[in-house]
Amino acid sequence: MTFFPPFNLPQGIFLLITDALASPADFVLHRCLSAHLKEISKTKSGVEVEAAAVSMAVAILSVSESMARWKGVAGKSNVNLQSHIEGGSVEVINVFEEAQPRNANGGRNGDEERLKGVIERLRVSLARGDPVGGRKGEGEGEVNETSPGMKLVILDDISMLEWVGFDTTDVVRFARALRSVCTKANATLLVRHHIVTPGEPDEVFRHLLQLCTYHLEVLPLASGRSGSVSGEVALHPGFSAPKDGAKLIPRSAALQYRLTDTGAEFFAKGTSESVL
Amino acid sequence: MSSFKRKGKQALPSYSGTRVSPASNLSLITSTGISSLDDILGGGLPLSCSLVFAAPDIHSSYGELIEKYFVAQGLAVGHSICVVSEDPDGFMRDVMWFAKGQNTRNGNDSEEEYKSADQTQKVKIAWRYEKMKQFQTTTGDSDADSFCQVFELSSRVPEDLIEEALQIKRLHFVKVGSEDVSTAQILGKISSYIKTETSRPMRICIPGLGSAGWGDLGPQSVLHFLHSLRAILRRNAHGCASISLAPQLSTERWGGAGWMEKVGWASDGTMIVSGFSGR
Repeated sequence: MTFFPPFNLPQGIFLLITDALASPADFVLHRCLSAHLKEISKTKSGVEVEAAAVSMAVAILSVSESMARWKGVAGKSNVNLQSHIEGGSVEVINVFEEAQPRNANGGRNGDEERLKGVIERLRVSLARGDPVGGRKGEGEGEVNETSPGMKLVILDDISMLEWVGFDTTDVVRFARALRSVCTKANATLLVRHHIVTPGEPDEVFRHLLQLCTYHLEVLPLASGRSGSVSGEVALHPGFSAPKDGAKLIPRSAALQYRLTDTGAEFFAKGTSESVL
Repeated sequence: MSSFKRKGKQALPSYSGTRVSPASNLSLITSTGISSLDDILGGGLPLSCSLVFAAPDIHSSYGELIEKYFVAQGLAVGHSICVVSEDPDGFMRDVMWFAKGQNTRNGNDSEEEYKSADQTQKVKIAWRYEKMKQFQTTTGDSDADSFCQVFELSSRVPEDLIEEALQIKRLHFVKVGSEDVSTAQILGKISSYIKTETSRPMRICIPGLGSAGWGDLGPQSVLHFLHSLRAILRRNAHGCASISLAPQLSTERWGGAGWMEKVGWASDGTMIVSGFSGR
């Protein structure tokens, strides 16, 4: 089973998404969320699920995106996010409500402990209930025998954690812990990181590259803004990418994309499909 | 009769000085007080959004001027205003207002008014420009009431208007610098003011964020402040904020490589306003 066409990435991976201010990659997160919820709904409609077995399908670790925007964009894809939240299949964890960076005097407020709280909350959420087709009665901490990718975890902005005062080491450890929790739960992990110094990778980015399975790079057009093309997307392997994995797309052959009301349309560079 | 029902438009609250965004019928926009800036923003500043202005020219006051227009517009259309500054009282008394003898003026002057103004005050300009029309933005104002008011730079807000606004709690001051007020406390005050007044839009105006009165703010503190302010606005959809950075904060030199991009990520929009000198 794959996700995010036309890249057709395998489930259960750690996908690092990088973007720039001129080409924000929030459309990738929204698209993956909507597609995953639609897939879950299709699966649930074919299998009887007991009323008590409410399983969490998506966990959104919210740092920068607003709930109104998540709901609004999901609505454009005919996904009622509010009902999924109320039904328990989507859980939104506000990272800043769970953790606060160091105080103004520079003293540590236990950054690592605060971010650990987010990990624990996520671990409990991932272990909650029964996924569709899984075994019943599993306790917390036991391996969840779901098929890979039935759960999706989205961290919409890891860069802001470092920028507002969390120590770089703690942010990296947080990412590592996220990876570990998601691997145990067979969940797909999406993490977005902003590149503000192109050509000079920052420390967090270097560590994320080591952890990720694939790196999806969303770039602005080198020639500036265009009304027909919003940007370019390239796919690179991470350190743990399998040899026979997804088809990689180097920067030289990056797919271009155009944002529309319903999402993004991808097309090969130099072609007129989706543009004309 | 068809059984299909059109999805009802989400009922938006009706506030004076706002209108439905042309880009999305789910959000309201309000004027910044500068019609050409509204034009750039696609009609105006959306409620629940924050806009940051960086003005790196140390010999100019572009940032403060934009904030004054923002406040003047809010006062004119009856919005609540919160000014966060080293000297909010002094800032307020320097805000521009309508020309003397006028209450409100339609943003799009009719030709007759333009002609009469032209006759009484003939400005000496080059002959080739005499027949050119007055500057007009692309955002036409089809409403009877003017969306963006027209202010006179040489006029000032009447003092009794300021006093009245303070008394009826339509105008709030948050002073930084004189007391040991932290950014967390400032955010707490903003949050309490915005939660208290929900019957009208609340404009948060922060001229000179990071100036001397703010103390020893580092890049992380500034970004944390902007990020937290944005979160407050998102929880209170009737508010909006206009922030101008102090000139020294408006350059990459201050915050390091990628500083202005980081400011852009921490807010809903960032504009750099600089002069042509030296370019």
